[in-house]
Amino acid sequence: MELDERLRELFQDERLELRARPGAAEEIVAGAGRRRRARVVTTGVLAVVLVGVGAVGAAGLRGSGEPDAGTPDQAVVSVSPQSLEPPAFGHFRLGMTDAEARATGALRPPGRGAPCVAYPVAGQPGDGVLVSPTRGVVAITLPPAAVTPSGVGTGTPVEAARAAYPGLVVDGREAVVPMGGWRYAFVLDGPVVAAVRIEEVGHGCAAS
Amino acid sequence: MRGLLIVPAVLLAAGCSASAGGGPDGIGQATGSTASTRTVVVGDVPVLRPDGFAPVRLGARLDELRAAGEVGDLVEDPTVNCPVHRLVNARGWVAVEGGVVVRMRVEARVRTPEGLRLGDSRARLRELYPDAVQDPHRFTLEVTGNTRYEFYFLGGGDTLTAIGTGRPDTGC
Repeated sequence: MELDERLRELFQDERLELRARPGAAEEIVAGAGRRRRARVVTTGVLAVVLVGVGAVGAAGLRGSGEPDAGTPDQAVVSVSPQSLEPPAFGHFRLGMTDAEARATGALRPPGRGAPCVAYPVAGQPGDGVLVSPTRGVVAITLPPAAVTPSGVGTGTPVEAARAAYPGLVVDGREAVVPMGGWRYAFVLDGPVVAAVRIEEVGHGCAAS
Repeated sequence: MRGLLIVPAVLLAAGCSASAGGGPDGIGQATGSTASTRTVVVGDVPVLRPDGFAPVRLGARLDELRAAGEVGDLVEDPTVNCPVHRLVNARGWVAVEGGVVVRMRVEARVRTPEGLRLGDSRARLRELYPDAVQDPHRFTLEVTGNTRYEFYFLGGGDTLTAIGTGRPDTGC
């Protein structure tokens, strides 16, 4: 009991009293209001940023799949496997320069003719490559043992060639297949293919 | 606060990486400046899988294939050490050991599952099969423990002219 009375006297001593200055309560309330408004503004800005960035990310993820009502349709182009065949064979490609063709090491120079030059090719009878002075390689004759990717080569019946290339057109002793800027020319020996040539359309040189 | 800034960065990165992806097979996908296009190959050529293409598969019995009209006469091929029979429904042949097909080669109208086609270049081969190994006669690609693809470029040129598959542990 004595201790209780001593403590009560101690806390009632006016030397321990803390007096607030005038207007302190109003300043405290105003400061709390400023902090609350700042917190609301920061949270709002971050929410807008999160929503925007999330939309960008989601749009990117959708882009890897099939188109949906919210994205533009993807254009679909249908092609035949024949249209993927290249205007090239072996060491040569249409449009190569004379120097590039010689650099393959597969030509047997010197070539013949002017202004276009016909070159024999190592291991192959006849002239294998025709080079224009302005357009480079304009015709490539396949070796006798070779066939096109669709299987047309020396000895192929012309009707089998037509089955492989439905766009085939017989023109005299040749059958040609337009391939878009270039064409196959199948030299015919009666009803069968005697030689296959890849050539640029309208190259202006006599065929090799 | 730092955690709140990391989240948008991750979402942005996810969106960018997903939109940069290409087509599943590496072919036929083209992207223009304003719209993308997807190329579909119609009436496509047969696919030669590592074990062949139905019904001509590695391990198939010769007599059964002959009875089914898939395999024809013997043909000469000095590069093969086994009897070789021509394919009837494709341009190519099968090599036979012990009465079963152990190797085959197709020279027209064929592609691999990954999209390598006859007429493709060496660069295209390396793009699709970076592990393919070149020897003096061809490129080979080990597919399983006892199966490998063979890719041929006639005359050492840059045009793929035949695709084969076989079992390397045989004598063919």
